[in-house]
Amino acid sequence: MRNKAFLIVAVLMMLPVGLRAQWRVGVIEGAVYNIHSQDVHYMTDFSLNGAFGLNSGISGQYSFNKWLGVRADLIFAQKNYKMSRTDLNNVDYNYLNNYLLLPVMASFSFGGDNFPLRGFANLGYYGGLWLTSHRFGTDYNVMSEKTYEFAGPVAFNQERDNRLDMGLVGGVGMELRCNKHLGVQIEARCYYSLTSQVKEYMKVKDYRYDTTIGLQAGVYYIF
Amino acid sequence: MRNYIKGAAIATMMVFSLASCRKESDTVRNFSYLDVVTWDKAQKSYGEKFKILWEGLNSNYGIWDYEKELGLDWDAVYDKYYPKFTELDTLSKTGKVTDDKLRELVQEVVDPLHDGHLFIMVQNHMTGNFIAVSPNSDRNKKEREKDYNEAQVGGQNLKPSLTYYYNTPGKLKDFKTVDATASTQLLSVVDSLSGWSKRILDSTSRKTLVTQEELISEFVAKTMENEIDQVRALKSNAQIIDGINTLALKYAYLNIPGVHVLDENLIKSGIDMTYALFEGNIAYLRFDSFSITPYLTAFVTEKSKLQPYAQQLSAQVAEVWYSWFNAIQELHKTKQLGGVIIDVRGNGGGMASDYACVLGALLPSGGHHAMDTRMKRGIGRYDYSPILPQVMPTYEGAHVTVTEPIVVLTNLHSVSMSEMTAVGAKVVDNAKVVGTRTWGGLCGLMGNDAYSVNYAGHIGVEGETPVYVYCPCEASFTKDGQLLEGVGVTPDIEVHLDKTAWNNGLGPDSQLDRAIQYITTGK
Repeated sequence: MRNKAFLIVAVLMMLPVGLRAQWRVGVIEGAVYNIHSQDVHYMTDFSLNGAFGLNSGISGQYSFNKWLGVRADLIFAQKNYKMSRTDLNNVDYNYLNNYLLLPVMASFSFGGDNFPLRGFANLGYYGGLWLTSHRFGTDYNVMSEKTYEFAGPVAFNQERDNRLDMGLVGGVGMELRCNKHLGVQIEARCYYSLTSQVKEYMKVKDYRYDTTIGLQAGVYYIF
Repeated sequence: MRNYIKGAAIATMMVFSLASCRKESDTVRNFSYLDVVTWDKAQKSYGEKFKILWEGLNSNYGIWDYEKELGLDWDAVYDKYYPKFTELDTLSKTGKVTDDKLRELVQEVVDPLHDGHLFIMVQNHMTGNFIAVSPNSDRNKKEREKDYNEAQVGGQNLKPSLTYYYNTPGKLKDFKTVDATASTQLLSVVDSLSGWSKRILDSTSRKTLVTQEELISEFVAKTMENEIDQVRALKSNAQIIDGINTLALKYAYLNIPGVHVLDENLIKSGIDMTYALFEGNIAYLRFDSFSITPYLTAFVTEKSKLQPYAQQLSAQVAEVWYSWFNAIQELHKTKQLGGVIIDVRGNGGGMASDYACVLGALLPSGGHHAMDTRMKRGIGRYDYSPILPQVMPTYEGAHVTVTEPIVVLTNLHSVSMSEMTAVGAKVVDNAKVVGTRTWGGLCGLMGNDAYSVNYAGHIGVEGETPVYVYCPCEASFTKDGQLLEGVGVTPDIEVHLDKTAWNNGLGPDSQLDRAIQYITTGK
């Protein structure tokens, strides 16, 4: 399926290039909200909640014509989430997961020819690398009947943790063209992972996915 | 332009169709409780029993990373043994699957696991019997045969004895002991009932003419004998306690001396405890299980609520413990305390709260960071909490901090809390562990009723579900990060028991003598 989709993007790129073909580069800053999906099975009071994180990076785009381009970003994004227990007060985990993402998207631009404001939609795939993981919070030790605070890195388990992250990415936004060379964008984006955060490391399959939505602003220099 | 739009629309549809590519996780069941659907298939299938054992351990066992380091591939165990258990299902249609055959297979599956508490019971539905396997017991018997035999007498855990010291003038300055073991408590009621029924039956059998009243008594006595036999045939302590309490209530109207409803709290583990003060003012405490707290709690705070027998029992245990504790307080204050010996040889462990009554009674209040712990936090094999401090309770009442030498005496049958005490002693400057290496089971357990606190621990219900696993819910590490499961605590001073000299407790105890030597000489 993935190969087919890449083929479509490639075909789109080979469409007749218009006269307005041009490059642009920019920087992106924003915030994301990550939703972690995991089957809690019989642990019925395990509560998984989304968490905010940061999102920043650089972006490049080659526009074939006025309405179509191909865009690639290199993004540092956080896919954070929280785990708590609804029936046990003292268990509260906050996971901070740092990712480097490389979304490659077809970028569709639309809007009036004479307006400085144009809309756009991006759609494509991303590949990424899970860089680091940290967690902080509190846990309850039943043996000593005490609650402890913790904070620190989570060491990757090579057998369990899937550090390669791939999935779909899409976004919609608006661009304000300030002048011939400068554009400012605001975009709502969603990363939808198709690779589980844990590998199939045991016979019992236990998949965990992230859906990361974000709001980002970008400044572009248009050549 | 129209073609471009069409192409873009197709691309969009293709991309979003991939959104359904996330895979579904398997359904994982909680096997910790009685549930018809969960256990139904396993009632009559060896293959299903294996699956529950394998899956239950997969989700509940707390040290899979340790097992992996030691070379175990749990998935490979499934691939190898599931077919063998389904073969038993085939065999059961034409022939009998013996208990030995089933035990042998279960042993092969679980014996590579290192958790020292792990205990597995699987019901053979062909015979109705439960087979039991203890991987660490098998390991210790095999790999530490000498230590294993040294710590046993007649198939039972060796019980340290002070008979020689008691009988030798000039050895002991004080001595107190109490036997409140579960078996002693149970036997006292059973013997009282049995004694009464025997007396009635003896007296009526000798008579040729009996009154109607005697006939009724004879009937009651015969019924009682049958019921006592039924209780004696029960397997678990919980069932026996229930059975005895039912009889005690039923025959309460007879007012038989010694027959009373047993206090579940005081009988759960029972305790056998000895205090002695050796020459040189060395305060010695030996006890066979960490179940001091219920007796002290009952004695101190619940005295008025207890039945007379329970009041007496808790007072006896409290007297022994307080003798030890008070001797330490007084001797330390007058600078006469030679040292303290905590003898946990043959002690199978028990309640964590007891730490406060033993090593924790010699340390400052506020808890003792003896070890570190890690909880199971999820169904994945490697889903764990961070490493958290394992702060053991210390005595919170007014007491002295013992600065004199402390010795924890251990042997192979020092298990669980005994090992926690030994590990705790290793991080106390003035304490040493003397004896032989311990059992190797430090990871803690909770009861079935507390399963959902950690969503880890026991699988099934003992004696009721076709598979039962006594399984810890956490991993305990030494402060330098070692997991001692299947290994045990290595003493600072290794010394074996000279069993010939010990002579079943009538002679000197070489391990105890070495502990005294360390305290008196510092070497």
